[in-house]
Amino acid sequence: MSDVILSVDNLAVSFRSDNGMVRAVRGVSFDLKRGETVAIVGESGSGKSVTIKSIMGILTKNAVIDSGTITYDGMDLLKLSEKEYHHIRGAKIGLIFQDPLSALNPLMKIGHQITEALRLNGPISKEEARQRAVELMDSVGIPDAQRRFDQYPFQFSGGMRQRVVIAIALARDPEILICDEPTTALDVTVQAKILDLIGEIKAKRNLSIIFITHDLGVVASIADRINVMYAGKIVETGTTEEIFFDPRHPYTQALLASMPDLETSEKLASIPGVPPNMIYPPKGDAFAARNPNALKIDFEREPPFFKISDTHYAATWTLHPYAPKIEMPGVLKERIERMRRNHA
Amino acid sequence: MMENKAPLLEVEHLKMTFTSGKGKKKVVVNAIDDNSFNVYEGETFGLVGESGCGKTTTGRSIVRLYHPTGGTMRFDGQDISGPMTRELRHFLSDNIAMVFQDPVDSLNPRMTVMEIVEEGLKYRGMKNAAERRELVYDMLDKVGLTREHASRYPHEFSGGQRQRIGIARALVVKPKLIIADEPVSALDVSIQAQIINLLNELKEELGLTIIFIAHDLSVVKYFSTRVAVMYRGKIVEMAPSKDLYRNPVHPYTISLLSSVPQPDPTYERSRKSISYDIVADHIEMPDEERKMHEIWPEHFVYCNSKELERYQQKQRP
Repeated sequence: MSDVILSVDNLAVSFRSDNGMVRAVRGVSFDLKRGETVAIVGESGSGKSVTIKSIMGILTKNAVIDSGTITYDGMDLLKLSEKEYHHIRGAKIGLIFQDPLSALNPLMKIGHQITEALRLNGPISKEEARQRAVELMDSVGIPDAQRRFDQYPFQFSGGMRQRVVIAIALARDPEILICDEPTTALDVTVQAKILDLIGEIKAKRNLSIIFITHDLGVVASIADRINVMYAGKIVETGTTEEIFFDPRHPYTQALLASMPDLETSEKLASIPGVPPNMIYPPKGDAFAARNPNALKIDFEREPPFFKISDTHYAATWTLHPYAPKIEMPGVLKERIERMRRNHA
Repeated sequence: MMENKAPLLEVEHLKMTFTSGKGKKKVVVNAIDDNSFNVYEGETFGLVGESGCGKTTTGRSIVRLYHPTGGTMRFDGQDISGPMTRELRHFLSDNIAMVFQDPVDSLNPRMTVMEIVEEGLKYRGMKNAAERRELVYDMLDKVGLTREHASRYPHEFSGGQRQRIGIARALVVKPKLIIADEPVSALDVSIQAQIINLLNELKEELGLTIIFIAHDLSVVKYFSTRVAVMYRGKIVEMAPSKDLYRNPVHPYTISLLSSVPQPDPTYERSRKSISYDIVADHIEMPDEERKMHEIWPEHFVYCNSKELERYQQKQRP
């Protein structure tokens, strides 16, 4: 478990736009260990997708990498040429997109799209490719794979399409699988099945997974560690238990409090305001403007990471020994107490 | 608690079928399959189901964006399911307004916020521009926007703000009933809560009745007086909100509830989601016709008599 397979260090990415440089990612660092699932949670515009696009080397042309390294297998991925990247992208690091419909070619039979990926591994006969593809389809839970091999994407439901996308990603037997909101476009009952499937293939193939989502509920079951992102930075990182039972950053707390659950039914705690404009990133703690309990220093100086445990860090001045003690939102406190009681 | 109130909207045996193709290739889809329900004044009626279950079609049939294939609908005692006339169109648009899911597609990008919100007033023959403007400013204020926003275009706003514009447009004509079709599902979690709370406040303040259409059971709960669960065009269970969440009866409702991800890692890791099997879960007397049975007061479930017996054996905690 302990060896690091992928390491992102101080990554900063900006985009050229008509109105100026958009600072999408501002110094992100995290490690992915072999066999673990790391979640990156954040709202739209927090920089989570840009982070993984940097890892995959699929940033758009107007992107500028300001600083940082992404180390995989002794190489800095940010320094690779496009040709060298072909041996990494797909082969070593697979990617599952949010929308399974636009990830598939509508004019190509499903089976062909899977064998296409298989053939990238090296020469393979037509019969063998078909055999392997059908096995893959079986393993991701597509029933009647022999027949469905010859069907087109429109003949598949949303959940089945996502299974096909997963099969394609697995065809090259990657070590790392990056899932970019793989269940956001799906119905809840289908979402539950896809999450189960991802957990299953992870265990079977000893994959390491980076899971991107805006929904903390989704990662509660599958993540080992969670990084919470806001305005291009990781503001809190910890094990899943630490994040859900002992959230420290005001943003993590507000995000958890605003999540609907099935037990409480009072008013939802909402986060006032909107995320900052990243052309002019705010000074200090980026969340301060939306935090009713923000301290004066939050608007002036950027908080460093404070250590809560060996695995749990949060970048907020509230953890400074001189900071006044601030209670977490009542809804959240009650929920955490209820969770502790339920599982005691 | 609701019986003594007259229903604002009565829907009886509503049916909507779509057909495509001709001859051998003809396909008939029963988007709404004989549903009846009432919506009472001042309540929020949640309509929940997965994609393709007919919840949006139900909403659109009520505002008569579709012409229903069968059934009757009455609003405030007046029939609204007959042939479309000028009078009926006016009656509907005076009383019922919609808030749409996608705050990007549902606002005309070439119109300013002022033009978008005042359009309904113009249509109602309010000729005095100054008067219209005052009403629009007033409404923008109510939904948490400012006067300065009125002269801007939709692209200048964030998703949550656009949804506020959509709500202002719906409310400016003072409708009695709002049909909100997935108004928060395109928004971030933190913004979702803002919009849900806003709708709740406005409902109290303006005495609105709301039909809230959603796929997310956890969101609907914060909102609804009663909830109806739809599956393949059919309402399978309908109950007061709390009752439905505590004592779900129909196997589909149970499966839907069990799949909602919870912000609780211990629960999530031990969770077994229950899947619904339309054949295996209904083995008793498959020939007998199913209908809505009132299993407990105000708690309706779609089943046959044998299933009703089985459901009733479940202790109501």
